[in-house]
This record gives sequence, C-alpha cells and structure tokens, in this order.
Amino acid sequence: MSEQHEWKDDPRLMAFALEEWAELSETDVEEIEAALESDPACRQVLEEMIEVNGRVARALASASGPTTEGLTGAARAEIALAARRGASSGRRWSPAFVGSVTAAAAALLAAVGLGVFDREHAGVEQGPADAEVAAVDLEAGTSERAPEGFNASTVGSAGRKGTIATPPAAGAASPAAEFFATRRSLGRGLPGRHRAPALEENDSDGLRQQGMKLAVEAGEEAPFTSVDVDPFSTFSIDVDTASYSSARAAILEGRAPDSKAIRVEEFINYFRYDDPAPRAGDGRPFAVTVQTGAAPWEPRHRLVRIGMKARGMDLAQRRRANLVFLVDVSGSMQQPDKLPLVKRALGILTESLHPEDRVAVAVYASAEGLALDSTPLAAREAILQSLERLESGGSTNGGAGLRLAYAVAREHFVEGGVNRVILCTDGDFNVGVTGPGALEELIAEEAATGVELSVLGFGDSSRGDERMEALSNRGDGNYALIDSELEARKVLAEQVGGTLLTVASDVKIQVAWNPAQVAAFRLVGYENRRLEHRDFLDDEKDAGEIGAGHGVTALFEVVPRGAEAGVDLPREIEALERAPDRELPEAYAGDGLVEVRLRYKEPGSTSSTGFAVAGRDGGATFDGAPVDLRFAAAVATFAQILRGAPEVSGVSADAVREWALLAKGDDPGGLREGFVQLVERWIDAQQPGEKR
Amino acid sequence: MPFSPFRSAAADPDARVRAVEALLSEHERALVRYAARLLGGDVERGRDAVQEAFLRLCRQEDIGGLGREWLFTVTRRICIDVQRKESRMTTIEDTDAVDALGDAASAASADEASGSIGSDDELLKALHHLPDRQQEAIRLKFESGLSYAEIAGVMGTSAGNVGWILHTAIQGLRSRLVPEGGAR
Repeated sequence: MSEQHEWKDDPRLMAFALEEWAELSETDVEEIEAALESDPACRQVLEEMIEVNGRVARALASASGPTTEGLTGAARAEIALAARRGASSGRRWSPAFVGSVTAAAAALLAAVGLGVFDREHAGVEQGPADAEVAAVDLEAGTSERAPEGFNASTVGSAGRKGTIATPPAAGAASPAAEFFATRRSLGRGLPGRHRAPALEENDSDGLRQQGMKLAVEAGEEAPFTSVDVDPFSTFSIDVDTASYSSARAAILEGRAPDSKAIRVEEFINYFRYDDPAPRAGDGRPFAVTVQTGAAPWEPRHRLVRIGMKARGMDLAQRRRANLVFLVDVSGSMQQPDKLPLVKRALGILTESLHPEDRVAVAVYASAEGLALDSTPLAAREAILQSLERLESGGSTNGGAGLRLAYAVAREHFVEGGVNRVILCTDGDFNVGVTGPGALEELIAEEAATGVELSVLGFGDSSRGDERMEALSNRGDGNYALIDSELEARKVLAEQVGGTLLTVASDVKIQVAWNPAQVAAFRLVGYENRRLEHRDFLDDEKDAGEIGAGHGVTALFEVVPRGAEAGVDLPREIEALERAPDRELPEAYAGDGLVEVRLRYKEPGSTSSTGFAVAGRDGGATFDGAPVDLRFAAAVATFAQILRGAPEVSGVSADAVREWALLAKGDDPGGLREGFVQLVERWIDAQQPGEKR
Repeated sequence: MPFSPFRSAAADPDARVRAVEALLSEHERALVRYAARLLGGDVERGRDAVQEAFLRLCRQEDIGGLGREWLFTVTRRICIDVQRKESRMTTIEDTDAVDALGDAASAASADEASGSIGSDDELLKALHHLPDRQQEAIRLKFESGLSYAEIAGVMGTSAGNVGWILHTAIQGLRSRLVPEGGAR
C-alpha cells in the first residue's frame, strides 16, 4: 500500500483493532496486515488505539459502580411470568386485563356478599385443644399479686424503679424514632441480640441476672430453657413482617434467602390469625388467646400458640370514606419496603374500615389502569384479592393515573364523607404530557370540590420529596413518608379520619411456665426482641406497639414433665440458677400450664398497666389442634429451615407444605395459599438438576 | 433470520421462559448500565426501563432471533420516551436553572473538553464532553461489547457509520492521552 497512507485517518484500522471481522473484507485485512509488517507508523497507531480502547473500557467499567446489579428478583420473576403467558397476554393493565380483574371482583362480591363481615363476630374455632383462658387483673405496683413469681429483682418495682439502669436517651429523638433507630428498620438487621441495659454492679441479683442471661445465650445453641433454671420468658411484641417479604422475593427469584435475615417471628406475624378481639366494655386494648397441640415433629412435645388481638376501631364515630388508592407499580416499587408494604398496609387498613366504606385501587406505570373499581368494604375479600394481584413493572405515567383516580372518586362521591385519592409512590411521579402546571390546577380544582389528595412516600423517597409535598398541599391532603408497617398503619388510619390506632404501646409479654407441668421450653423466634425479666416492669423500657385490629402471635415448643429424655438442657446453668424462694403464680395451681402476663401503656399514658391470662393444655394432637396453631407451626418451621436451625433438622419442607395446606382455613386475601406456593417453589428449587 | 436455537420457543411456554431467562441473565447488567446512563445515571429508572423492555420481549409472537441488539434498541427507545415525557414536564424556571448550570460547568471545564488526559477520571470527563452519538457508540462498544452491526441497529445507522463514529471519537481521545504512568 502507499507509504503516504495516513493510517490514523483510516477507520478500518479501528475495526481491525476491535476485531470487527464482519466489517472488513479479506483484502482490507491483508492490506492492514501488510502495512503492520512494513510501516512502523501504522503499527504505532494500532498500538495506541488498542491502548486507548483498553483505557476507555477500564475507565467505564470502574465508573459503573452499583449499576452492575441487574434487575431485582421480583422483576425477574415477573418477566418469567410474562414469558410464560406469551404474546397473547397483551399489556398489563390493558382494558382486557382490567376487565378480567373487575369481573373476578364482581363475581366474588356476589358470592361473598355481606357474609364476610359477619364472620368476624361469629366466634372463633373452638377446637378441643383450645386452652381454657381465665383472665386475671394484674395492676403491677398497686396490686398485691403483681410481684408474685416475678423475678426477684423486680419485686416492689414501684419503689425501685429509679435504681434500675435505663438505656441512655438518644438525643431529643421521639420515642418512636428512637424505637426504630435502636431496632432494625425494614430488611436490615442491627447486630446484637439483647437490648437490655447493663447490669448494675451492686445489684444483689446480679448473679441471678447473669444466670438468666447465660440461659438465654446458651439457648441459642441448646434451644430449650429448663424451667428449673428459669420458668419465665420475657419479650417485646414485634409487628414487623419485612423478613418474610424479602425471603419470598429471594425464593421467587430462585435464590436461597440470606439465612441471617430470616426472623421467624416476622414470618409468623405476616399472616393473620382468627383470634377473638376483646369483648366490648372489658376495658382492655387487646385479648389474649392460648392454643395448644402436639408438636408435629416431636409428638411428645407441646406447641403453645399465644395470640394477641387488638380491639378494632370505633367505626360508628367516623365519617364514611370513599378512598381511591393510586398505586405506583413502576419497577422501582418492587423493593420489600415499597409495593409489598403498600399492599400489606392497605390490606390491614381494610380491617379497620366500615362495611359501607368504599375502596378502589388504581395503578400507574407505563399505562394507567383500574385494578379494582370502587368496592364497598362489605366485599373485603375482593379488595384483598386485587391487592395481592398488584405487581410492579414498567415506567411511570402518573398524570393519567391521577386523572383516572379522580374520575373514580367522583363517581362514588360521598356527601359529607371523606373523599380522597391516596397516591402511594416512591417519588417517581411522571405527570405525562400536560406538564405540572395543569396537574396542580387539576388537583386544586378537585380539592375545592371535595376530593382531596394525599401522598404517601415509600422507600427512600428522597426523590421528588418537595414535589410530592407540594402536590398534596394543593390537594388539601397531607404527605407522609412511610418506612415501616407500623408507620403505614398509623398514617393510613389518619387518612380515613381515624385516630389510630395505636391501642397500646410498649407491649411486653412475660410467660411463666408451671414447673409442675413443664420441664423446658423454647420461644420460637423473637431473638432480637427478648428482654431481661426485670425490664417487664420497667416503664422506661420501650417495646413494640399494637394497632387497632391487629394481631401478634408467639409460638413456644414445650417439653412436658416426664418427656425430658433426649432433650439437651443446659445443666451447668441449672446449677447456678436455682431459685428456692420463687413463689408460684396462681395459675400454677392444679393443672395450669402457663400464665401469660402483659404490660402495656394506654395511648398517651406514661405508665404501664397490665393483666394476666392463664392457659391450660387441652391435650390435643397436632391434627386436632386449631388451624391457626397448625399454620403458625408450618410457617415457623419453614422459617427455621431457611435459617438452617438445628431444631428442625429432621423436618422436611414437604411436611411443612402439608401442614400449611391443611391449615389454610378461610384464608382471606389468599396469604396462606401464597405461603403454600412459596414452599412448593422452594422445594422445586432444592431438587438437583431440575432447576427452572 | 437464519436458524435460531429459540425458534420453537413460541409454541412451548417452558422453552419460552428459558429463552427469556437466558437473555435476561446474559444481558440485564449491561442493559441496566446502559439505560441508567441514558437516564442521567438513575439506576432505579434504568431498571424500570430494562424491565419494560423485557416485558415487551415477552409480548413478541416469536422471540427466536431476538437478542442483544433488539433489547438494546428497545431499551434505548423506552429511555428516550421517558426523557421526552420528562422534558415536557420541566418548567421554564427549571430550564433556566439547568442552562445556567450548564454554562457554569462548560466554562469551568473547557479544559476537560480539550486538555490532556492523564487519569481515568480525566478520561471519563473527556468522554462526557464528546458529542452524544460518539459517547453512545463508545458505551455500546466498550461497556456493553456490542458489534458494529449491533450498534448500528440500536442507533439506527449503518455499520460503516458506526466505524467512522468510533474511529473519530477514539482518535480525538488518543491525541490527548498522556501515556499511563507518564507525566501529566
């Protein structure tokens, strides 16, 4: 080739450097190779080019950072589902799809009718295993009974309160903020299992306390605590459920969930249990139910399920509500603290609404659509089902979604009621073609004629924060950031004009086992929620809150007297920890199994009150136990399998599936069915070779 | 299209899922990175766009023969749509602000556009100052590893033109590059 050829100006050399053989003819390649042989200038250009290319590629790679993550598990799962549906599926939220949802909702509405609400008052299942429950008032500090059987260090708590070490106050943060700051927030665990204050040096019960502590820590390895060592279990309630949502997302993606992020109590409390609410007029914020049955994995052991159910809201005093939820289902909403939290929060809200209240759910992503036309709460099943069906995907067009939501709210306008569009988003609100000016005008106009707009920000909603607030101001509504289920419950209650909602705060449970009946016990889960026994009566010690209509379940595995053989009990601690002066609670008389003590603060109160409930074991087999106990056992076992807990090493996931399948009960919202499918999915993923 | 291993995928849902999942595993990261860049570095929105692209893939009658080029093309289209919608949203005040920022930035970084390049950091800055199409071609080539033909499909031009764009871009950078480890 010509000696004068300026190789640096010849794009073919670039193609050569990049090995783009399809772009080069044989002659091109021959020509370049010949020039590389004979022309040092050409060689130099090529070498420099290769160097530049390499540096560009490296620079880009080093700058790519977190973007190498790819899609989320939920997104992948949804794509797989769409692939299976194939081309015929059409667009999500297309008129055809929405039509099928509303048709299904209408069918359900017809089938279910008003019966749904009656069920709540029809009484709970009275299986033969339901333990007898006797309620005893227990005013700690004022009642003579209160100190009985409590840890000696807490006796006479009223007088000693000042000497009990309390955790240092964290700045001027509100108790709620501190509560969440000292615990994990959604999906993220904080290290440390015990939040209890350090022992006081001069505490005469120091040795005893230490023994307790050792027993708990030993319990992490040898799970059972000997009742001879310590007949009490003290812990805070937990209403979080994020651990289940995260694990589910992982399993649906085909990946093993992080065993360290599995919190058994959050699995259990993800589901609703049909425990009776407190009777009107008994003055208690919640009722306690004790159920027993044989442990399915060890028939000699007993399972004890303690269920708490908070009283519902005072429905009669509220204005009727006509709510249209406008839910952002764009892809970024998939994270566990976003769409799954929205779904749960709305589902729980339905429990607090009046049968005549109306709820509609509109969604927006790449296209807007109506997932659920305005439906009276009487057809709560239909509402729950449509919530379960919400999936995220696509990009955002909020403007059209908002117009749709207003149209629906208008159509079902309630004179003198709460008419409100509630936008649930992570801040990615794209108004579409008309621009923000027109949108704000629309919002102000709607507000002026009675339809308000509130905005609930989910996840890390730093994006679009001010904008969201501005929109809600225009709409006469409010703007709230929601980062936890508890927050969601509170905020949503305010949305419907309720005054939530927290019926009791700092709720602590102390379970006292009858040593005549029980040799050993283990609390399933609640590792991060365990309290020192002394904290039970310490009003400064904060704990979980319970909201109107909500439930909390704790599950114990109990080794009855006479069945100790083969149970690994921490003997050395037993020696340390005899307490001969311990007085027995009243419930221990005769064949009482357990006394469940509750301490809590009424809303606005700074001092705690409490009551106790006694439970007896009816002796049921596992199959004869109430469905809620059986289902909780299945969920707890599955969670422990995912954790790799040695306690369940002999239990197969197939067995769990079977237990859950037979304990689905009425299953409002299909949550339990979802669990069964999740277990099946996990079982499939465990089959070697057949990984799909 | 010539023979495709996924040809039968339309009929068999399992095969379809496998085909989509294979494409997903192979390309999602590169696609998200690409989309995030087009959307001003926003990874979440990049994910949204890529998810939407895959959902559109799932709606295709026959996905056999559809691959990387199709995915990049569709992702790019989605990103451009999103940006178009957003640019309509931008108010006049915002535009002024952005312009003012832009002016300040360009005044401060005249050096980045034409000065010598020593570190990776300077190289990235220099990349940012290239014309949009050069930047995009470079990213598709060096970040996502597409061929000239694929880039041509994505960018709606000819492979020859892609060669020319890349040649021009790299040539410009090369003349300014200080050898690694050399003097600045």
